[in-house]
Amino acid sequence: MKLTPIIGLEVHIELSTHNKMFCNCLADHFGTEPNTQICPVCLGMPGTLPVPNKQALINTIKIAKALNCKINNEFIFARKHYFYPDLPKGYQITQFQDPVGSDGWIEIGGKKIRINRVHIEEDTGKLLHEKDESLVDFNRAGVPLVEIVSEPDFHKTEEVIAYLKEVRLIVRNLAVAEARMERGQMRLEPNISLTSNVSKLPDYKVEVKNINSFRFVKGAIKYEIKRQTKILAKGKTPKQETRGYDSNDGKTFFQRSKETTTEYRYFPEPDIPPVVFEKDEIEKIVRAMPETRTDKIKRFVNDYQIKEESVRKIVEDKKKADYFEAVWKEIVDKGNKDKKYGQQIANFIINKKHLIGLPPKEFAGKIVESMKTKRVDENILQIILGEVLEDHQGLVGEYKQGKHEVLNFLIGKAMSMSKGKLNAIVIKEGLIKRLN
Amino acid sequence: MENLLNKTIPQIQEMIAGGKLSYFELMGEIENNVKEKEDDIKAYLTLDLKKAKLKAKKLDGVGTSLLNGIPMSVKDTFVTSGVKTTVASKMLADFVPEYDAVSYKRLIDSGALLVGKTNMDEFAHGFTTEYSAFQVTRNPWNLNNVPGGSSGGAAASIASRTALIALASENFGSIVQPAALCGVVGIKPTYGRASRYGIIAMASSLECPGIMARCVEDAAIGLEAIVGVDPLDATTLNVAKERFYDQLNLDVKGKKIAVIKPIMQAVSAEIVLAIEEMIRVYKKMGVEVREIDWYDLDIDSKIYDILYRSEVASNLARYDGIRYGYRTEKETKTLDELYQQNRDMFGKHVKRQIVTAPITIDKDNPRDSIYYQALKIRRKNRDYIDKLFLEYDAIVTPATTFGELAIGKTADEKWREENRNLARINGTAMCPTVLYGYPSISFPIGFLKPTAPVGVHVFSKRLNEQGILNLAYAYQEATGLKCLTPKT
Ligand SMILES: [Zn+2]
Repeated sequence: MKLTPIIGLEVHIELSTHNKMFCNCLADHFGTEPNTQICPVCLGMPGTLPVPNKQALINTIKIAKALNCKINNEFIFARKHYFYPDLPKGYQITQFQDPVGSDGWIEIGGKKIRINRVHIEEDTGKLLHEKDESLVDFNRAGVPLVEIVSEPDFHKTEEVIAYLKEVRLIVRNLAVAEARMERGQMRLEPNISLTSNVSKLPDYKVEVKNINSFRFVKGAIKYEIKRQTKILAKGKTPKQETRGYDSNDGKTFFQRSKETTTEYRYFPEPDIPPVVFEKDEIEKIVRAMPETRTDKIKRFVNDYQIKEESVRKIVEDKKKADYFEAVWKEIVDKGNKDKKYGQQIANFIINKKHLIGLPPKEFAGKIVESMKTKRVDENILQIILGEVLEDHQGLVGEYKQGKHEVLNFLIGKAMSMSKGKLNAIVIKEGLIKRLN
Repeated sequence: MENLLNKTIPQIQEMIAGGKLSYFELMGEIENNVKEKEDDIKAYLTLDLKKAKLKAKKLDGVGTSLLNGIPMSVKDTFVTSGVKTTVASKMLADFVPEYDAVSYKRLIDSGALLVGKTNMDEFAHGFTTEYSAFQVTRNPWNLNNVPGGSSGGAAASIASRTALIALASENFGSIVQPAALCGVVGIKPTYGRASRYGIIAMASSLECPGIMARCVEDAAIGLEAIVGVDPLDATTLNVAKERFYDQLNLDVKGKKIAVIKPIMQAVSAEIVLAIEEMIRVYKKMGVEVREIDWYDLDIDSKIYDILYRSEVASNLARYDGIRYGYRTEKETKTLDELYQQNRDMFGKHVKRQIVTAPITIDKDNPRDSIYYQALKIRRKNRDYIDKLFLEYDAIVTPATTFGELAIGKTADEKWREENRNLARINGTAMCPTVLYGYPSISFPIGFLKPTAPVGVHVFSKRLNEQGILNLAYAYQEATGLKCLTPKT
C-alpha cells in the first residue's frame, strides 16, 4: 500500500507595525525588559476596550492580496475563549467569520497551493518558567499576528519548505513583517495525515504546534510520516490529536487529544463594530503595494515578450529583475523598440551571469550590438551556414544521430568564415534551427 | 443651609460667583449630609471626602465650567485611578486602578469633585442593589425600601444630597428605574455618544454611561460633560458637542409623544393614574399624546437575553487572579485549581450567570446560530421603532413596573411569581434603549404616597438628547417637581 502524505499549514506571522493591535503600546517586543511595554488595555484590566490598529489591517489586506485572496470589505472580530495565564482577557481577539482574506492561492514550483484564509489576531504574552515559579511577560500580548491557513495541498516536505520560503519572501517584499524565525516572528503549525487514496482526504489529522524553524518543520513532518505509517501498517488509524515537537530528539510528542480540545465559544467581539473598508480604499491600498511575484511574471511575459520559463528565472531574484528593467530602459531610451530585445536581455542575464556586474548602460550596449549583428548579417549568416553545412555533411549526419558535441566544431568553422562579423550565439542559434 | 441643596447647580454657581458661598462650604454641606444620613442609607462603598474637601479649599472664585467644584458621586462600576473600584464584588474588593474611566475623567476635567464611589449590584447585575457583595443601600424616601438598581447607590446619593451629580450606567433600566424610585432625574445618551471605556460590567457592550441629578438642568450639565467621541472606545460616534443646558427650552408645543398601550394595560392602576396625570399636563402645554400598539411584548427581552448572556461569561473570563483581583492564599497544585480558587470569589448570582451561559453560536453553522437570529430580529425591530420616530418625538413608558419595593422582597418566591408578568413588561419598556441605542430620560412625575415618588421613562430617536431633556424640563417647570427632598 502506497501512502501519500497530506499536509496543510497554519503560519503565524507577527506584523512589524509601530503599535500593538488594540492599544498604543509599542509592538516591537524583541529583547525588551519583561512587562515594560504594557498598558491597561493589553493587560486586560477591567473596563478597558480594544480599538483596532488600522495600519495592521491594511498590512493584512496586503498580505491577503499578495496571496491572491478575495478581500472582504467588512472585517468582524471575534473572541476565542480559553484560560491560560499568558492570555490576559481569558479570550483572544481574532477573526472567525469574515476574515480579511479568503480563497487565495500561490504557486510553488508550478503547483498551486490553495490558501483557505488570512486573518488578523492578537498575540499572547509569554510564560517564563523559573525554578519554583512561573512568570508572565505581557510585552508580546496584543502584538498583531497574521494567520495564514493553507488547504492540505502539500504532499512533500520540499513543497512545504518552498511554500514557507515563498510566504516569507512575500511578507518581506511587502515590508509588513520581518518574519525572523529565530525571534519567533514566524511560527509554523503543520497538520499531517497519510492516505492511500489522494483524491480523498483522510478522516484524521495530526497538528504539530508552534514550530519556529524550517528545519524543525521538516523534522516534525518526517517523524510524523514515519509514526503514522507504522500505525497504518498495523491496520489502525492514527488518532486526531495535537502534538508538540522536541528539537532535541527530533520527535513529536502528544499534547492533547481531540476529545479534550477546548470549546472556544467564538462570538463576535461586541466592543468593536465591524470595520468597513470601502472598495476604493482597498483599491488604493492594493495600488500602493509592491508588485507580487505572480503579477511580475505576468507583466514580464506580456510587456517584454519573454518566455515564462525565462521570466521565472529572472523574477526569482529581485536584483536580476531590477537589472533587467534597468537594461530594458536603456535600450528603449535609445529608441530601440523591437520587442525581441526582451528575450535577448533575458537570455544574456540567464546565460552570461558574469556580465551582470556591468552598469546597465554597458550591458544594454552589448545587447544592442548582438541584435544588430544578427539583423544586419542575417543574409551573410544564412550563406555562411549553408556553406559550412555543405562542407561537413558527415558531421551533420553525426549531429542528427545525437552527437551534439560536433556543434562546437561547426560553430568554430562558421566563425572563422565570417571573420568575426558574426558572434557565437547567433551562429549557434542559426545552426540549431537549420539542423532540426 | 437646608435651602442650599434645593438649588440647581447654576444657582449655586451664581451664589459662589456672588461671594455668598464657597466651594469649601458647599463641600462642607455635603459632608454634613454624609454624616447625618450615610449610616442609614449606605449609598457609598468608598468615601473620599477628605480629598474632595482639600480640592474644594483650593478652588478660588468660579471656574469656567458649571461643574467646577460640584460634589459628585461615581458608581463603582467606573474605574477611578487611585480610588478603590470594586464593582461591588469581592473579586475586586481591593482593586485600586491606575487608569480612569473616560466619562469620569471628563467630569473631573470639568471641575467636578469626587465624593465617593456608590454601591450597586455586583457587576451591575440586578435591579435592587441588594446583590452588592458588601452592603444593602436603602431608599432615602423610605429606609425599608430598595433604591432600585443596579445604579441604586447613585440614585440614593442624589436623593439624600450627599452628591449633586452622579455618574451612573444604564443597561435594562439601571438608571431609569432607580432614578424613578428615588425621585431624581436620570439620563443616558444615545449609545456611542459617551465613552464606555473604564466601565466594568457583565455585558460591557450593552452598558452606557449616564447622569443622575436632582433636576433636569443639572442632568443636562452633567450629560454635556460626558458626551463626545473617544479614541479609546471604537463604538463612540463622531458627533459635534451640544450645549444641552444652554439650549434647554420650555416650548414643547406641537411635540408628539406616544404611549405604549399594552404596557399601560399591564402595570398597576396607581402607576397608570400617575402617567395619565402627566399626559394631562403635557396636553395642556400643547403636546400631542397618542397611544400606540407594540410588537411582540417578549421579543426584545429575548434578544436582550441572548446578547447579554453571550457576553457575560466572556467578559468575566479575565478575572483569574493572575494580574489583579482576588488571589487565593492557599497552595494550589495545578493551574485549574488556581483558577477555581480565585474565581470562587464571584457572588452567587454572578456565578449563576457564568455557568448558565448559553452557547449562542454554533461553530459549524455560525450563520444559523441563535445569536445571529437575534441580531436579525434586532435589526427588524430597530427599523420598526425608527419608523415610529418619523412620526413621534418621543415614546413614553412607566419608569418602573412597581411603585415601591421592600428590601428582601425579591428573595420571596411568591413575589417573584406574582411579578413575573411585570418583569416581562419591564423588559418591553427598558430593552429598546439598550438594543437600539436611543437616548432616554427618567424623571419624577408625582408621588404614589409621600414616601414613594413615581417616575416616567421617555426615549426618542438617536442623537435627540435635547428633545427629551426639553420635554422633561417643560414638565418639571410646569409642575414644580424639582429637587425633591425626602422627609426622612
Ligand atoms: Zn498596551
